[in-house]
Amino acid sequence: MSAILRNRRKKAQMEAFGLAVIVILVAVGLLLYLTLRSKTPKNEPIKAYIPSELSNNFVNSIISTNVVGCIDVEETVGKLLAYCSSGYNITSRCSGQEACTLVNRTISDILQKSLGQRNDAYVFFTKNLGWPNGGDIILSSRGCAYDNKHEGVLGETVTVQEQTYKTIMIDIYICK
Amino acid sequence: MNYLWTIEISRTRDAHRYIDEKNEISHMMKLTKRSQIQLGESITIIIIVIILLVVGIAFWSKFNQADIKQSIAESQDRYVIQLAKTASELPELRCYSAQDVPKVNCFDWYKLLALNQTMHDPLTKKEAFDYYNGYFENSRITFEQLYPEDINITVYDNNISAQRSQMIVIPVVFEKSLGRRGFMTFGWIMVEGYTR
Repeated sequence: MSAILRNRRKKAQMEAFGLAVIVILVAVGLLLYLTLRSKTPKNEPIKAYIPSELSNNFVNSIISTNVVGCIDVEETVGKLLAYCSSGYNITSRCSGQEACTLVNRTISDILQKSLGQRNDAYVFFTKNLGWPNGGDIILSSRGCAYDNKHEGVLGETVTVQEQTYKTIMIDIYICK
Repeated sequence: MNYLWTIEISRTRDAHRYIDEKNEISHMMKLTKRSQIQLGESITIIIIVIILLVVGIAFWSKFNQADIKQSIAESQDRYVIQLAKTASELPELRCYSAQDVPKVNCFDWYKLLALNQTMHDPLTKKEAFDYYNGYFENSRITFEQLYPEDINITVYDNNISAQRSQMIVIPVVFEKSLGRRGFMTFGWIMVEGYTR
């Protein structure tokens, strides 16, 4: 008699245990789903589009912008960068200002009026400019730098050639 | 004697029947108790399954709702991107080289002024608005010159009560042709898409 009772009790325990296992499995499955879901990045097309559109069009637009302050209205940022690189003297045409100083001030002014107003973090830089004062123009805001530490979007590199066929590279990196 | 014997037999039979009935009742009671226990177990399992189902459905509906919201936001983002692409490619506002090739990121300032005048002139504004409404729907398109001076021209504004607006800016240059010479200024197109 007691053996039968023991058997029945064991069966009941097994049933309860089975039920508990099912509940635990369902809970674990739900947790796994939740973890996977939270790790999947949200698809926000506009957040990817804005920095890429900004960086790609920014340099192209800035180099064809005319500089204010020179007698010859056709002096663009691109031309001044070439003059700066070659050491061409424009002081007599541009109210006594050196090409490098004038172009640096103009780019800085445009950056502040545009990306600066939007509170965007950016670094605008040139390569191979050879400015006597410091090599290249590097203008950055909010601690943004073009390195592995700062995630961001690099624009299309635009090149300007000066008279001696030296190529100057101009680019902008917009940090996220 | 015989009579007494008969009575004795009858009493014994009664006693046996009584014992049988008692045993049967006890057996029935045991069966009923076991059935009650089994019924209780079944009810418990059904309740647990129902709870699991309800929890599952609640989670599923919540996630489904979030998915729907996410896909709506995505389609709204794509709508604003499409608007920005349309605005930055308007042929009637672009500047062209002498060979009729459109210049990169360049808009003719005087064409913009002319469009702005058309959009605000009482005689032409309805027709012009209807035409651009087909392209820009619920949005605001502003051309802003940033360098040397800050000048804004809003060429299109479908002023609706919006719940959400997304803005895209595209850097451009504005050409101000002075005779044969063109003066390029820096600015951008601001495209704001309204979504309800």
